[in-house]
Amino acid sequence: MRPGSTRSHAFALAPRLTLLAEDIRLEKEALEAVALALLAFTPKVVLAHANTVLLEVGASVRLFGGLKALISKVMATVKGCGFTSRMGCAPTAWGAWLLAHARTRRVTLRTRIVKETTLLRILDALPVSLLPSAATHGNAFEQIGCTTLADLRRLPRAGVTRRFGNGVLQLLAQAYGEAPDPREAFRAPASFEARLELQARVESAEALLFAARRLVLQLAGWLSAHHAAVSEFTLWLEHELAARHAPKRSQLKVAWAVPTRDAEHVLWLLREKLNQTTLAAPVIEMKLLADKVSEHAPQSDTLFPMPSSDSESMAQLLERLSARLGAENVLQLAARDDHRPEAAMAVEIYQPAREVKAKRKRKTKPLAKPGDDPARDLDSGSDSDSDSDSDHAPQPAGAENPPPLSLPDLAVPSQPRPSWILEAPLRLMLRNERPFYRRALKVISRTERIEAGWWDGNGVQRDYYIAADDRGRMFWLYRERLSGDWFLHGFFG
Amino acid sequence: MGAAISLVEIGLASDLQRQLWQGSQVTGTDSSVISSGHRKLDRVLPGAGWMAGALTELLVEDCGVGEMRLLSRALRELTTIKSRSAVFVSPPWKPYLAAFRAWGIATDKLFWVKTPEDQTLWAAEQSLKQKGVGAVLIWLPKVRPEALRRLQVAAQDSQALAFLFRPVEAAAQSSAAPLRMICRPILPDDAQTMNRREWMQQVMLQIDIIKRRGPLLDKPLRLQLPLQMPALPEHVRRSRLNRKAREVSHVVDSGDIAALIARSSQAAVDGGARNEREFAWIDDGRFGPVER
Repeated sequence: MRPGSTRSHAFALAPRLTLLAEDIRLEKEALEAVALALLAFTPKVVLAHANTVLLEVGASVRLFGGLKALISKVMATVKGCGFTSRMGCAPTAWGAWLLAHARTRRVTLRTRIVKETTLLRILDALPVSLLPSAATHGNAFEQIGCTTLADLRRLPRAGVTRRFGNGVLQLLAQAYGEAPDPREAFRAPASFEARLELQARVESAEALLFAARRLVLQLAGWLSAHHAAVSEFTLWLEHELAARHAPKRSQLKVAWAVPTRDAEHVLWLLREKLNQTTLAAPVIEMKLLADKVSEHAPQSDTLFPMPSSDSESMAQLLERLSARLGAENVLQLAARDDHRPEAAMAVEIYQPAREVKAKRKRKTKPLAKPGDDPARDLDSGSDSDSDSDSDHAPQPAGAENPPPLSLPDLAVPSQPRPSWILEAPLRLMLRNERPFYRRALKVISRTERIEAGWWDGNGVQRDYYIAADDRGRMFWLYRERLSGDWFLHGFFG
Repeated sequence: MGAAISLVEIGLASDLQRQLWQGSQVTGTDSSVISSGHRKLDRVLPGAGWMAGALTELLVEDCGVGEMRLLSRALRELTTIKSRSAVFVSPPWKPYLAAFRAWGIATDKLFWVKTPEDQTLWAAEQSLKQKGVGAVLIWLPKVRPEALRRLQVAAQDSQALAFLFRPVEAAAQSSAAPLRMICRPILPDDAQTMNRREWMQQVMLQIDIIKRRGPLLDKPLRLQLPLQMPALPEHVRRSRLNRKAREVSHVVDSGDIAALIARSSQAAVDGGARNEREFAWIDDGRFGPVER
């Protein structure tokens, strides 16, 4: 089948052919979707003649790790949008255009060129029929014996202009890099809204995710064009009308804490969300809306990997974990000022905001107090100070020395604490007057009395002990002062 | 074999070298190794420490025998010096902050992930994949061998230390983890007569390495893991030690405790310290005795 053949000819050759009407609007939309997704790689994306998208990547090559890596990333993105592409690469825009089309027609092998001298050689060998204006002139070029671009360039300029118009020579000059080639870049719309009509009715969440990938890629491109990051989006699902009472649309809201523009991370969160929802009816169309968009500057790469960049990726991990397991299951421990063991620690749901605050604090601290190294402070402190440190000393030890601010950090309780603690203390039986947990326990420490909390109604009056069994395992026990009952409270792990 | 050795000698890429191991020797050091903080243990571990890129299986009878004290120094190094995070995946009990703080672990880098049983592996795998995670501690009472293999593969590509805690009964089953050890608490030798306070400093853990990249141990290792850190904070102790050591370097007085310390620290520098004392490697390269 060739372009230009008639409809009856085509049906004679292939009777089962399906004819589709060209839809200019849809084509344009598709091309714009691709351009939007490709904005992730460069701000200069140009929609060019004949379904071609031009990217100016001169400034992006290093950022994405070389031309080869960049090209494969671009290819993957276009493929992720659901399109196949042919690529050409050249120092000039028209040169790249010609090479990409040459690749489509398979007339040349080399289509990725960086050097201008090579470009000259390769372009010279390309057939004239590649030129966009060739179609309007029929086979006039071949008839005057000029088959390659080199032949065309060798012809007298005045004659070519008279015959084919000024455009051809102008294009050639631009392709060879002899004339400037200003172009208007594709602009991302001010607000993001992408729509995708599905080819078939989709019933499974996994298939839906595959389709949603196209939308998310566009979202990522749009975000980097606006230097923004997203922290909440809505996925509208258009359902097939299965029953009269079935809802026609449903929405899926995905929100997270740290704004991101990483398409993979967004897809991750969406996958977790989709796995948890059941579709009301088969989906025929979907729409993605970015709800919460904020300014975002990506971190600049460092020569040496810094731990600060890790903390951001750590937040992503914890978000993924809480997306699947539930936020109440991803926890951090925080200290509280209390003597009661169960109140001395709070279990907090992980919140990235807290971490950011902590980081800022750490940053400002050295500014406020240069050289505030607690170790050195105490080191050079005084001899009397170090002696009195031995017993439990929440109070500042040396009265004549103003204690450094970081002292509470150092004054850990001198009584050892278990690494595992029971949520609720376990009452122990007594055998031969000794507490018993699987085996007889032997108390090996002095009493540590904790009496606190009378003010809030959860008062405790306990004597804590460390106990060992006859095999060497260590336990943390206490005895209620009033009742005299023994309880197991923790394990020395 | 000869060919393999010469290959190693001409210098393979380190990741390749990590996969190639000769049965006669304990594998060499690697940059991704974190010292366990216990000299005795480092000596028998392949790579002289906990190695990233390999699953370490700790078989403990019941949790709470000293397994966290065993890991505490490595965790401290990871969270403070390297400022990487540690993730606890479905520990059997609630971790208690005060203990971790006392060990000098940066507690804001600790994350506790509670999982239902079927999600534990998933969470562990995710954590292992993540950059910036220094250690992943996983508690899995029941696990199928295929799942273990998968975990080992995840650990192989990871920068993080991977520790898996399983019950002792699992020792009989085969496992994909390259390093497996049984940890049992044992009584100090003179437990019946010992001063009870002294006992807290003398809590022992017996470690039997049942699988490693290297020859088998001839007898299980005994490691002292005191419940209580020595009474004086470390830096104070160190500075005093140094001062005293300088003073008494020429005094011969066996009754002087400082002289004893000085002598033993000298012995440690000489590379002795066989069975007398357990020495902890302190960050700046000096030695400090852990009190018995």
